[in-house]
Amino acid sequence: MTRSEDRTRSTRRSALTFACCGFAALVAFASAAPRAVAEGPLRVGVLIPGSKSDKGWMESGYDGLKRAEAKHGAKVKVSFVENVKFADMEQALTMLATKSDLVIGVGGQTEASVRKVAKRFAKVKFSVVGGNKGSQDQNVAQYDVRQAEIAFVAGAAAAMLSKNGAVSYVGGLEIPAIVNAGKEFGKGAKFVKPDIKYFESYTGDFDDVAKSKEATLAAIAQGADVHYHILNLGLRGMEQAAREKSTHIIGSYTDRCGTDPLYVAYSITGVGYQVEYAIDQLVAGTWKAEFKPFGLKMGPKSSDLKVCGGLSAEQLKKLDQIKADILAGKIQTLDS
Amino acid sequence: MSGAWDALAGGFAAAAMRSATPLLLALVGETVRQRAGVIDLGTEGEMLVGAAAAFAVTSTSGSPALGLAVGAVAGGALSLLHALLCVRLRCNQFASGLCVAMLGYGLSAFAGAGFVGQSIDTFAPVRWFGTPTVALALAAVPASAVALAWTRFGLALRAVGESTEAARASGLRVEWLQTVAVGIGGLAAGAGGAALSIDYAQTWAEGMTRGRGLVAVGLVIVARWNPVLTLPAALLFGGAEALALRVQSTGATASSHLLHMLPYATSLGVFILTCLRRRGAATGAPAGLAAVLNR
Repeated sequence: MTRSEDRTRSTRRSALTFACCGFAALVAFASAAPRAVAEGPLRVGVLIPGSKSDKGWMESGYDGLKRAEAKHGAKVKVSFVENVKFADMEQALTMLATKSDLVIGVGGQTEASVRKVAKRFAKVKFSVVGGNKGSQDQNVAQYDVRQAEIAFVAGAAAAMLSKNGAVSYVGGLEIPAIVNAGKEFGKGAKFVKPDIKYFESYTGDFDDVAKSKEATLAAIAQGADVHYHILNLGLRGMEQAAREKSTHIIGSYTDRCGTDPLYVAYSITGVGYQVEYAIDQLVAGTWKAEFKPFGLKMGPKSSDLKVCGGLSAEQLKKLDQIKADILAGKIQTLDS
Repeated sequence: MSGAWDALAGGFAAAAMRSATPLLLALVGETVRQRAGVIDLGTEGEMLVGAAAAFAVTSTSGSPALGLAVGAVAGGALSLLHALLCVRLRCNQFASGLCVAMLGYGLSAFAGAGFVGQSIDTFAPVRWFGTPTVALALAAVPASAVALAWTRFGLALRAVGESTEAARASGLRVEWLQTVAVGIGGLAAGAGGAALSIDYAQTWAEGMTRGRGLVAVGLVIVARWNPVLTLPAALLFGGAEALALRVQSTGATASSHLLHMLPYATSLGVFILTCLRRRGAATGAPAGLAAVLNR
């Protein structure tokens, strides 16, 4: 090697070393720099993984943040991002965390990313709606929706409402929370009518409209006339199938009785209620890093079943009894 | 047992055709493109813009026929970007296709955002076929086969697909022919997306094609680049998809993840089988595609 090449190499090496040191210093400074004291309104960032117009989980979450905004007025400033794919969640949460006092992930699918980002933002609070128990991080709260619990009650209602003696459930991803809800729906139906036929299927995708339509049609082909689901935009496919074949659906998340004759009942899972709860706690200064089960014990806004019609007073009383028995522990349901 | 049989067989043929129709349209279009020597991974994006445009127009105008036409045109328009990049500017076809796919995804999500959750009135039923889009997809198969095999235009496309140098030497306008082929594929992909949103699902949801465009690109190989074989290839995939859901509803304890693999595993299995049987024989691929794959 010539002297000139030797000098060039040495210069490059020095430049690279200098750049690395500079970058390391920048990162260290950014991490160590004290967070500016929050003045003015409390800042809340909400990540909605799906569409806020899905008539389901995501829309319920969005409605909750809107209610909280209206309730607290100038005390809070809420920003949100929607339609965030799994691969982009960490980046989106990081972006929200840099400008928020509380970050809320609406859905259990955000939990892994939330926990990862929370470690880097120790002074920011994080709440996961639909979170799991797991280990308790010092700045993360997980709220358990207990969907399986209300799915049992929905199953009981479906069995009462079914004229053919057959009901069905379509879930999106085949993950424990969704599977448990399906199993409890079937158990609830059999609790009321032990000989009821129950069909369960998973499309692999909460948002695949075509697959959820086919899954529902497959169940209808076997006689199912009342359907339940945990789907997001995929619900549209179930609606199409039910409309074509004149069957009915038990809706989820929000009571919309009277808006669509396709729906004979709605199970209320207060996704929005939990978003509101997190923001309320922040404003009151009582937010805690905890695993908090919601479900029936937190009241009708958290979990309930509304039947739009078609059941007698006696049947409605039986449903109320089932809810009371679940609360009393006489009926055990799976965790979400 | 009879309940399980009802689940599997009852309406299965109709379910397979329903599932296959959007795919078949995109598959026919991509076959034409690949016969001209162009691979378009942007088929997914073209289907999505077609789906979004068709739904938006149908929702605002009340005319599903107009929606279908506009959806096809939207897909065709986006495909011309791919033609510009890879035919005119000689960019890598795979890179160009992926760019078009991503652009299509974003454009359709943006344009369709205001229509999420809306309902539309769709086509009136058609005798024998059920809906006009099924009839369109089934008609596209013989039409493309006849056009490629028995028309001067089809002969020119095939010549370009075999060898652009030989085609150019014989006086054919290679770039123009490939651009037209890409455009035809885009029209078909857009129509496939439109069939999905305004006919089959009757709704719009972001990313609603769920990978069917990419599946179409792969199924061209299973169909041996033969337009006639696009129908059994699409039915094979669509039927396996419908079967996977129906098997679950019989109460079978098979994992849904494995069942959802069924369409892809079946297509791959058929492909491997036909390759083994025809070892040493021409596979049906246009010779010009080898240059694309080796680039």
